[in-house]
Amino acid sequence: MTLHVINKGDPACWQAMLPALQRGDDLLLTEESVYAALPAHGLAPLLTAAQQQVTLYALLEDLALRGISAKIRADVASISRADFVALCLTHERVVSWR
Amino acid sequence: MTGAAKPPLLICRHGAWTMAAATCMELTLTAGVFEQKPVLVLLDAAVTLLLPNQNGESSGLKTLAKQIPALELYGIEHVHVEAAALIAHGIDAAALDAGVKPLAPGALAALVAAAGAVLVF
Amino acid sequence: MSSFAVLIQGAPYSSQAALSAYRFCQEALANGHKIERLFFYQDGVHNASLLCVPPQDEFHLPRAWQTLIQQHGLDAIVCIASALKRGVVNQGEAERHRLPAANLLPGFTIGGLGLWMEAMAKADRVLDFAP
Repeated sequence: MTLHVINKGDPACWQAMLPALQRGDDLLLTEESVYAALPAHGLAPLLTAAQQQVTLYALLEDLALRGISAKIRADVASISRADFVALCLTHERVVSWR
Repeated sequence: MTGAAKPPLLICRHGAWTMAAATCMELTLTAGVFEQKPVLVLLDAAVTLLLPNQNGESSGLKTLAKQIPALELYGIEHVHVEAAALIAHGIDAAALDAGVKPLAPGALAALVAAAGAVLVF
Repeated sequence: MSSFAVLIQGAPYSSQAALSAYRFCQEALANGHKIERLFFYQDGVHNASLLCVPPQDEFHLPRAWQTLIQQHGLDAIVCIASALKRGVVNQGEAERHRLPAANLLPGFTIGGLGLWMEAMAKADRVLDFAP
């Protein structure tokens, strides 16, 4: 299984990533992409689509930096950097999308 | 589990005159030289690497498109490309080299699942 | 304990990439894992510059990398081709190309892309931090 990491809110990047997701993969939002976890964000439908196949996470440190830790949608779990490291190891590979 | 047993997958999304594409090609060729049997996927604007008549020589720029025919020499027999991107960039799939393969639905996910390391540019 | 090969392609301060890479490495090491190799590539070579002077109230990322590298004995490679293009040079390259100065931060080593290939094949996991 694969851990997908995305660090930007560019719709084209998200569109490119979606066909690469497989059921059972995980998707971690980091850096600028964490805004996509806000419920009314333009990428919300893509997150909903992704969530059919993968579990969604967002890096807590990046959410907190941006002041949105308490505002994200319920189906995105915020995780620590230690959790991020651990997730890398429970998957066979880590794919960082750009 | 290491990546040694499984080949690296390199995915490029950016056009033939970007640093992203240059980086992708450099890593793809180097992985080929090191006999890692890399797999190359071109999505979005990266399919412009397949457009003919590109030549940066007069501007002192390296023409990445010229490296595509040489991929075979580095052990990279196939280049997988996004079919919709070919259409969007005016590239006739039928006119392409036999080594260029349009991605079928589900194929990208399968390539990722079969890969060792995956790098996206 | 697992090993990570980490590719850093972002310059410090130009995006969050280099800082994210640093924090990841810090965490991985704190959790008892090994960094197989750090490979600073493309704009990432700027993390290895001796000449960065960020504002006093901002995090000095090049020096933070240096401390991490030296504290943990990490193998931190700066891609020679990327570095030369961007003007990050060690003494040897400065002399070879007759440049007026060298500016590679101690702790970092200039090396070729083959070292990244090697690390990618050897490490348990490969991480890529880019803008």
